[in-house]
Amino acid sequence: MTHVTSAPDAESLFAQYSGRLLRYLSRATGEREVARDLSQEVFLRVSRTAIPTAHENQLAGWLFKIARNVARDHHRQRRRRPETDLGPASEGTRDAQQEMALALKQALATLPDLDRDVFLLREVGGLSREEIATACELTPDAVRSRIHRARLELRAVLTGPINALRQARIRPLPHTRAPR
Amino acid sequence: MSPNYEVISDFLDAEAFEPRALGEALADPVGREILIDFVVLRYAAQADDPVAPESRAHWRPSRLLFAAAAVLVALIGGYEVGHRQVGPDLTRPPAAARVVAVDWHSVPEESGR
Repeated sequence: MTHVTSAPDAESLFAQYSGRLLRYLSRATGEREVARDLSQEVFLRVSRTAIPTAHENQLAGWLFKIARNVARDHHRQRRRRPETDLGPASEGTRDAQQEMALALKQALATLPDLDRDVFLLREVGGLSREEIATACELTPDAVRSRIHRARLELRAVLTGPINALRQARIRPLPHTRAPR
Repeated sequence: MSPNYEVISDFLDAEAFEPRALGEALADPVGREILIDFVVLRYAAQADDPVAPESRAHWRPSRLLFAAAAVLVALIGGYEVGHRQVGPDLTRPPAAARVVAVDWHSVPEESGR
């Protein structure tokens, strides 16, 4: 069930979405420190904007649309600056989960921007298809296809790390959220 | 005809799905593999990134110096506090703090001693 909200203030939005935004931006940029800065930037932009009175799912879509723009701006600026390539982390010290984290980061970079965003908004941001459709200006059906396609592509690229992780025990994740 | 595996994504995303289509997809070994791999993929995406090699670039020298200074201050502070809290050893006489020299020959006779 969706709720019609009166326009919330930036502070309550921050309280409600900061964790999910940070996780999304962390995956979208690959850097947690940068993600923290960008999440501040998102809420700075929110505080300067009139927050729409909307259904809760549309509000989440609106907020993550701003987050996508902030992440895109960051990537554009990043391309102008030379990157420091530190090379791979030392071999032999990583377990299956760390291998997967690194491989996933590299695989995500190979996906088309929109497919990557749709995948991250679903899996990391925990947005419903309707919310993702608002954030990415797509139809829910297009979101459905793109999420599935992104999963299949990642699965094909990450066969080794996925198989390694399948041998491990998977703990429940505290921030898994079922869409409304 | 191969089953439509998109229904697996529908199911995982808690969206509307046809149970019959899901049953067909999961009756196929490929469909079952896809379901497990998608769950693993979700887990990997949601788990905290323990590697994040690029984030090491943010360990600037100033941060390392600050961390080293903090460790040093903690060590010295801990030593000082420990040193002060240890009481005197009552089984041994205290060390001489000063030596008083007395010239016995200069004591006057009329002092009564």
